[in-house]
Amino acid sequence: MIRVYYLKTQRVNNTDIVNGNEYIHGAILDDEGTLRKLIQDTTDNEHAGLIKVAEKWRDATEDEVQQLEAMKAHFPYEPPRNLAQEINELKAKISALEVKAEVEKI
Amino acid sequence: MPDWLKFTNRGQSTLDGGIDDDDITLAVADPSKFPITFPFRLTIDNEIVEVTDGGGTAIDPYDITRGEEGTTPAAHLDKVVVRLNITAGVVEQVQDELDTHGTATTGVHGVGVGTVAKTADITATKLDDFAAPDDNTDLDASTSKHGLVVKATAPAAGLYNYVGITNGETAYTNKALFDATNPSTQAFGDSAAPGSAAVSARRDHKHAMMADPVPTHSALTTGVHAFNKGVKVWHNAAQSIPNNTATILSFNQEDFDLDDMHDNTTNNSRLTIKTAGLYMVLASIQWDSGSTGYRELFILHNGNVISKYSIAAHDYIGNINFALKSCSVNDYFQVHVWHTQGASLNVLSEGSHNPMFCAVRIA
Repeated sequence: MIRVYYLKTQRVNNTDIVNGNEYIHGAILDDEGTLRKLIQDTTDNEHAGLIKVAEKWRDATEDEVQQLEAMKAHFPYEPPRNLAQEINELKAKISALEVKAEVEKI
Repeated sequence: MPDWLKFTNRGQSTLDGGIDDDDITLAVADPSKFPITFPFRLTIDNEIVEVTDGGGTAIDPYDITRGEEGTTPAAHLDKVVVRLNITAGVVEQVQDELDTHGTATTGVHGVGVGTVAKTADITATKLDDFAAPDDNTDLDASTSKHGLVVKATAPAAGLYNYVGITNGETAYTNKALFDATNPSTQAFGDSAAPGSAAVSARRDHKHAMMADPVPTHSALTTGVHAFNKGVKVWHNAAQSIPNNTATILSFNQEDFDLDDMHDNTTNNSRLTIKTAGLYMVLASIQWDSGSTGYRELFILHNGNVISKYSIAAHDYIGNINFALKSCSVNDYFQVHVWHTQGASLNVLSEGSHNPMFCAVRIA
């Protein structure tokens, strides 16, 4: 679902990073006042993560939906897969499952 | 011109044969003593005769008129003396001619070489109308048909007169070269204004003048004099750009801002136009290490892409983009970047040069 999030930026090691950066992809990141305005078609998981760090959020307006679609037309390239990240994420899930199995065994 | 009597010096001979009182010819012993053109008068005894033709010989005698100047025709003997005298009649002829010139009012009277009489002496003689001479019409200086130009009159001090003729006029007249009005004082900001008098040159007109004080370049809003309407900004830290996300760049530092076009805190991605005109916009960035996918740098005008730069990725690649755009007041420019590295990638900060974003009004 396409939603709009208003996010602060933090400076870490001389790099400005928008809060919730790890959930952002295939999106538009504009600014509005002193905040960053994110327009993104978020999954439930991404939405759950973003609303924890967002100053405010709302559903996207029709104009913002069209703006995001226009952006995708501008950037037709498929983002490349980050296999290393996917492997690490799978490892983490396996580890979690293994921990869970151990707990249940005990 | 009268039929003047002719003369020779020492004009004297004798009759070659006597004549009666009614003869109308005579011959002389030596005709060479007398004029060869006519008329002339000879004195014989007490009679004066006028010779009108002939050679004066026996074969071709003179034709004569008898009893001139009141004398009585009489018979004259052969061999009597014949003289060519200046008689009273000759003198009277000269006097009559002089009198005639003195009273003449028409006709052209040649003067010839010599001293011309002063005007005071010839008041009875007037210059005739050249267009129709001899019609007894005196010269009329108020018309142009005589071909003469009237004399210019002296103008007021400091001015000039000339004699001229303008369209529609038939005669030359005195005209003022300048309008008598003093020239108008020019003031800054004056509009052009015509003079008020129809003379050959107007002194009281005005030229347009620029306002005072002459505006500096920064005050000009039109023309090509406004190069100092511009802004250059940068960012003092790297910016993490999420993967595959059109991210508007922030700029929290200013090198210069000559028209209050940028705010370091609020909407600091924007360069906002405060003076309408044609703007040249330039943006440059440098990406962090990474060689996957593409790198793109867009320039936006009022949120719409007007210039796009795209290139395949390699480590620390730089992007630069350029645009020209005619702008109204409150239009704004932004830069957004995009990459497909697969994970967040930094746009680096290298002092005041990267990332850089500037806009300069050029017209």
